[in-house]
Amino acid sequence: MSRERFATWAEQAQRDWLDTDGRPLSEVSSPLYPSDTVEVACPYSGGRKGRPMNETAQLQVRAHAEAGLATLSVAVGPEPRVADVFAAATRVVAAPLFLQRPVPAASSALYKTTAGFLQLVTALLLASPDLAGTPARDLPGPDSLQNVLERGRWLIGQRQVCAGSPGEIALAWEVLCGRRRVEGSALPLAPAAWAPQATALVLALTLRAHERLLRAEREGLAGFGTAEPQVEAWPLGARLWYRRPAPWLVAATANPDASAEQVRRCFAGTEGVLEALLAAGTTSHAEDERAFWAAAKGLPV
Amino acid sequence: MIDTPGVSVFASPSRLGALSVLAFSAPALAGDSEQKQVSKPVAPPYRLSYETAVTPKGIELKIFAQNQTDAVLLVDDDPFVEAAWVQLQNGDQQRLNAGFDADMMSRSGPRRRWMAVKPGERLLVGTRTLVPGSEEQQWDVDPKPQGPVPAQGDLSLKVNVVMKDRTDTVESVVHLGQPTS
Repeated sequence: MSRERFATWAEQAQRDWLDTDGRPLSEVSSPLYPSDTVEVACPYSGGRKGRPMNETAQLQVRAHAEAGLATLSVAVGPEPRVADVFAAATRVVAAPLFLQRPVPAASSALYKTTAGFLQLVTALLLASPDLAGTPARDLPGPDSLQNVLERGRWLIGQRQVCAGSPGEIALAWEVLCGRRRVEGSALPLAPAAWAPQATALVLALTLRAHERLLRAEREGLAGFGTAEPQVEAWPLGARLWYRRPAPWLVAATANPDASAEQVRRCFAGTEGVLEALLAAGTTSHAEDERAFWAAAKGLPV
Repeated sequence: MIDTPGVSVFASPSRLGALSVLAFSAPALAGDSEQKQVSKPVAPPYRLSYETAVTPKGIELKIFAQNQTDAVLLVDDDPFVEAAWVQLQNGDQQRLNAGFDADMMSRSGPRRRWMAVKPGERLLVGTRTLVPGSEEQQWDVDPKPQGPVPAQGDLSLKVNVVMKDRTDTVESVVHLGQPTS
């Protein structure tokens, strides 16, 4: 079961899981996206204004906003460091793996709220040495965040824009940074000992593939660079690089200088499973995948 | 943040206080046979070539980059078709639009993916469907053909190609209905 769960996480297969409202966790990115979803023109200012926005999902998120924010407060804990924000976001996004299906709508709503923040925080940590141990309350406030989101077009997806209002985004950010606490009953979270490490392993494997591909190492990648790549036969890291199913992987490989070693920056300390993968001394995509599964055995069950 | 946010750039709060945004440059384009570089006075270190297939849905355009240097080149894997039009055999011009993800208009960030092209290698770096269209539908994610898809004529392309340290805008002409190199 533990390997099956981790494999689901690695492939991000839970993105197509349905919640109790009948909605897939990844919304429009899923083939199960309901056809009766209401899309409206985004009313918020900036680059997303006028673009398609998922109003149905927005209403779902708003219906469970209090429980979601209370959960974020519990997940980050008091006086969080930036590494704690990363860990909290992974625990929220991985939570459905530990729940019965269909996923409760409240947890589904929080997943949708948090996936984008996990992308943002991951990109921030990978780009920033020594940030992980810094108090999260020192991170920039909502105004700076909005500016960054706007300039980086973080709120604009492939088919829809983020449905969070500026105020909702700001509030969630303040809670994640520990500058504001919301009391209430928390929703279930993935185990603290599992989710950040599991996420780090997948990030590191994807970035290892990214490094190899930047060196044009394509052994075992049949059809790479042709019109008919046989992606399903590729080793996992290259498949993740190619398909980029998770938002935080999208952000991780956008930087040509990104490396697997940088995943250490997501933590304020040392993570054993990550170190096991990084120290494996692999020389090919296939060896990377073998080392990846070997390291994953060190994850807590 | 529902859906995968596009583009980016990010940022590193070095000593916190402000998120400094490290914006990548905007994308560029490229072409084949009759190719000229628009944005820079020197030729790009790669040569673009195309394969086209005319289907009822549009012109399937495959974009290849051939490395003309002795070092590995890093090229963004989605050349941006800034403009495309066909000079029909009767002399008329027909505008074409490329199906893009909406956020590719200013791609600079999370959605970028780098392809390493080995010396001398010719690698597929992007595929686009071009459909007859109008100015209004230029940025549709899935534009519908407005009018018949041209099967013959000279396809003119203006393509942006992003490399790790430079962006090129290249114009090219491809002859529809004829094999390309």
